[in-house]
Amino acid sequence: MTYINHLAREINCKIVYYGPGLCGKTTNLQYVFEASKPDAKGKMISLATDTDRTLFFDFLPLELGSVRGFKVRFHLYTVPGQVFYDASRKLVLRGADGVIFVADSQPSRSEANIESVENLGTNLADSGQELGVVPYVIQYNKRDMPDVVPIETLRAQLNPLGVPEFEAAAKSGVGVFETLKGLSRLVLKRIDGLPV
Amino acid sequence: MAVMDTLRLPSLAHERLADAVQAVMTSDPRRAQWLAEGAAASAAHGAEDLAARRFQTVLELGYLVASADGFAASEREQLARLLASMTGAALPPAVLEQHFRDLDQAVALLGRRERLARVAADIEGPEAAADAITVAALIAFADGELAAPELSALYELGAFVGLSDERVRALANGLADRLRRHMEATP
Repeated sequence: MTYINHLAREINCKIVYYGPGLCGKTTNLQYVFEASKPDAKGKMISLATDTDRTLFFDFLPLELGSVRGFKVRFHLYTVPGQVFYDASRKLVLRGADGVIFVADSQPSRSEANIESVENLGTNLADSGQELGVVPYVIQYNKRDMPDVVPIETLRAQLNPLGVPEFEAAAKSGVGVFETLKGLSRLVLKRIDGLPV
Repeated sequence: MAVMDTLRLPSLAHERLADAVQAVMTSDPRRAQWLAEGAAASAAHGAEDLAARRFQTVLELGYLVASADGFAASEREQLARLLASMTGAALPPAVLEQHFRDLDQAVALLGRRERLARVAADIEGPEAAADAITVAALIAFADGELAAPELSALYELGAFVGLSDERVRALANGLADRLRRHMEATP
């Protein structure tokens, strides 16, 4: 649900990081925030809600240039930490132009990954959207940990649609921008046909 | 505990109300100047310079407060005409009405409270904070009252920019008094 700010001459896209608790969503967001140019980003906002908090910031990826004279501003959102309340996850998905599912590669988190990806599909469907129709990529995070689940297994468990997938170790920044760029390409392709 | 009643202005013709809001808004020459410069810079450069960004920040805060109790088509139209007039017609009313529609989308996509927090984060320092509250409150007063939901949004904005409820209320009361005085003094 991209919106255009005609006065600022910007196209605004909301990207949501989704995944089980402690999978590295906040780490991804923080890495992108810290690596973005100061004059091209807003402040990182942590906003308390009734049940938890939402973390977000926006930035202009200057290297993307413009779409028919409009700059593209990405708003990156996540619900960090252990989120027990589904309502918060639904709210943060509202109006999403793209979703990055962050999976935890540790064997002990396999069940949580599967539960979370199923929950993502359900919550998107509840808001009238569909995985695969909404630009969507998967990041297999924590690949730097010992004894991680093989990629083939993760793929079979989490990526039946065959969407673009990326390996990452978000703590050290590995794969963070590759994932975001992978999703950005899909989002930009989708908005290119928008009337401005 | 913040008081959440409605601050009502005398019921007069819209033109007199608009005159009063414009007079109070531009009574501070410094504010009048940055509003006009910001509007002109927005028309010329989008959001590429500081004056434009400051103007658009405060405009969005005004929108978020004024629309907290709904934002009827007539209110949008009146407010767009008023803002165009007080900024030296750098931005025509039609452009401002389009901007309000864009901001409707921003709220739907990103959330009202999230936008308030995000935009408020660009306000730096106590002077800019008081300015932001003043402009937002005056924009909200343009329909003749600062309704309880608008006042609530103003308190929330105050919290984001580091102003207490008491300070926000004092600013709002002071603006209401000035608007009433202007309306009484103008035939």
